[in-house]
Amino acid sequence: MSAPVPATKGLFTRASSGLVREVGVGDVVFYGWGQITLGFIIFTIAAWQFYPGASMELATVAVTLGGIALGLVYALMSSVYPRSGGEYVFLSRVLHPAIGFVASVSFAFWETFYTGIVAAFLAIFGFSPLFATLALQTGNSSLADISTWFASPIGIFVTGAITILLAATFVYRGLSRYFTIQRIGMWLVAGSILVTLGVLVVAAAGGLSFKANFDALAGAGSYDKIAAAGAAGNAPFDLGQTVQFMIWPAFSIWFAVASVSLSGEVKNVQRSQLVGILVAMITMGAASIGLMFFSRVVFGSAFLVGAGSLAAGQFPLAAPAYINVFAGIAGGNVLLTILMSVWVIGTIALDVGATMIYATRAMLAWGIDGVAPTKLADVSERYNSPTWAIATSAVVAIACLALYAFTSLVAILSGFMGLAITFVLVSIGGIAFPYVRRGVFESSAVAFRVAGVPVISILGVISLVFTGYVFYRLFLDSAFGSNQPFPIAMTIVVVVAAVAWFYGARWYRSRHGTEFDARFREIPVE
Amino acid sequence: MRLYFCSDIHASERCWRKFLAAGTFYKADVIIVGGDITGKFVVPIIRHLRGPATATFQGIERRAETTAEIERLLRQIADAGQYGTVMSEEEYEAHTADAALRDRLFHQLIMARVTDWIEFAEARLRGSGIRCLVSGANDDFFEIDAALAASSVIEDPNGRVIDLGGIEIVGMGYGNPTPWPCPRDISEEELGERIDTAVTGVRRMDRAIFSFHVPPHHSGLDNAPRLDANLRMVMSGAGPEIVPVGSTAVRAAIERYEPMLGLHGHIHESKGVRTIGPTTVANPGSEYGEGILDGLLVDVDVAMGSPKVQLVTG
Repeated sequence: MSAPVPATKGLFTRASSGLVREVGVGDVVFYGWGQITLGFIIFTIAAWQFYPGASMELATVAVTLGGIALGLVYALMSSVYPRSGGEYVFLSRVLHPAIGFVASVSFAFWETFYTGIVAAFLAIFGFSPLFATLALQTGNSSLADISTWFASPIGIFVTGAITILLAATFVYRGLSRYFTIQRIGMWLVAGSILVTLGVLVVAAAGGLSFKANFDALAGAGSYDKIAAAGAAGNAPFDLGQTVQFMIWPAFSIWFAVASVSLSGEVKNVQRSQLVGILVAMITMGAASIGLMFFSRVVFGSAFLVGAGSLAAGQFPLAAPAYINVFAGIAGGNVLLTILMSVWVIGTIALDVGATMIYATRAMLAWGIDGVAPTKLADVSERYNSPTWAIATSAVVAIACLALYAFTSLVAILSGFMGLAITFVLVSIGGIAFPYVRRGVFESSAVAFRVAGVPVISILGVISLVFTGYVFYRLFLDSAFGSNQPFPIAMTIVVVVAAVAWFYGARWYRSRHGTEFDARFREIPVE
Repeated sequence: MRLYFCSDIHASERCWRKFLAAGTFYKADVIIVGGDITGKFVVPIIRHLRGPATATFQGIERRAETTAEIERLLRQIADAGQYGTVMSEEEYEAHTADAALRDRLFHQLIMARVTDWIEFAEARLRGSGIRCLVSGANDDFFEIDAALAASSVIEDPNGRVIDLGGIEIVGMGYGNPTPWPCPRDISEEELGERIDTAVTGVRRMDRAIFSFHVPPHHSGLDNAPRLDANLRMVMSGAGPEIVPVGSTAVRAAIERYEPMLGLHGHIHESKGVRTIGPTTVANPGSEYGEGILDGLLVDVDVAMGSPKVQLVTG
């Protein structure tokens, strides 16, 4: 019993009731945008210098195609198991409860880690560059001081902590309220992206001169000097480097899949997840490619590589060498600078909430299944949100933020390895599902075949090729940095702790007379 | 003693089959459905003069060329708790235009499935030693009660006490008023009186289970959106307004009688295990539309009471 079921064409209904689900397809798209965090393109383009001859655009196209395969596996699996909690729900049923739990803990831990780190990015990549650009354009030293404060450890921590606490408050007040804010924020982000692309297109057509504006601020000849230092940016196309570069845009685009954490709260889950994940990936993939292409055309490939490779303090402006700063300089107008900063600030700020929602929904599912303390499954009577899970997530995120702001132990990309483990396991789950859960598959709405082979298995194979390759490259690519001792140790610790936790919980529950394994087993129909 | 409880399976063929298998699967002595066993949708599969048969199922237009494909579609529709029926274009138009025809179709399909289910239960459970309790509730027509009563393996605890061997269970399919004209909606006062009458035969309240379809008011098991006079959700700036919609009469009865356990359903999205005074109350929730059977495993030491309740998803 709950809300009335509307009459649908081609369907006869009687006076009755139906499930209440608040999240629509538009919200799934916007949530995917939040998870993708287009703002990460700042360090994606900055890293391009390490891959001479790589096509950023082609790498992003490939990553988007791989992401679509991964996204389809996620969407189809979540339509078969439409419960909130993400990959934990279906992997624990399809592969093994322990595997599902480990994949989920790994993803949830690193998403919480990024709740903290992304909150730090708001100061580093959002506010500090904005105020630095405004200071350059207005000559106001107070704005320069504000920029410096945002880039300082205390500025990073204070900005991040406030953002985390605000996100926790909005998530606690219920998803519908959070999604109202997300919806407004994302429309502003979309407008800001269009303004930025518009400015870049005008500049590419010769209507604005980035070089002249840059030299006016940094001194005559500064542009050519930096471009000369980045001659590698003009290297001929290299397919191998392009393939290796894929790990950078993958770090953004693939995360639209995290909307499966909300499946229990999504209206018409089959259609919404499918459309929502794909639209989020394709639109943000296209926006990334547009920003990359026009950045190269307007700022110059050699200039981008040169600016990115300069040692700290050698950049001739009192501003970081980021594309949002360059876009502001190209626009040459304070109002445009502010408008063009919205997509960076907006996507980063909303990612704090998006990552927190993922982790809290995973904790809720663990609590319901009894793998974690049942307190985590407690929902607020007033707002219907998982109170303890949100509090836990906020505390861990603030601890990670402090670690990032005040120490050098963790790097920006430390967590991708732990997250990629889950992508690989989901791909394997997609391949295996029709064979290990034959009955469920056959009676599901995803039982499509091509030449006798289940479509979900084919998608799983494609997805595994991409995710497996990225996982492999993360161990080798020192430019990316997740192969450093501390991130690797953290990745291993999280996995080992999750295994120990799962079997510890199993032992504890069994000792208290409950049949732990029964929670995961599907009752055979026949 | 172990009990398995689920509710609100709403005609899902897959959930019914899982329910009948739950006793063996979970090693339960008693399996219970707490009401709302019938469905709410009929999906017409329309045979066209030319081209494949078509149907709109789960928001997507489905096409079926062969008899085997139509059979498969009918199975999918039944698994999701809906009633598929093959009809011509003319029959479809006639049913679309005539509410009485649609009503007759619903009754016919509902009773056919209930009858099938009972026959299947007879075949599966006879001689198994597993007791099977099934009730009708607010969404179920009264006609199904007679069908359930005719079964040799199904017991209906609605309005009476059933001894499970040291533990007693009493059922109540009636509920407090809903915004819909449900067959078993009655006032809180009448519900309270019916409960008082039904529990008269309970010998030991500290070993009694109240299987009342509607959850107690403000228990955390009864959160649903507030509806206006036009049955639309009341929206605030933040989205649907969520309010407790359970029964005050059920809550008062639990507080007065303090049974060992309250098993409830009705509000699909409000699953959980809570306590009211010394009584454990639980709602397994429902995901029948996806063929997922949400349930509760209840372990009771008959001598000591103190039920252990865990949520399971089968």
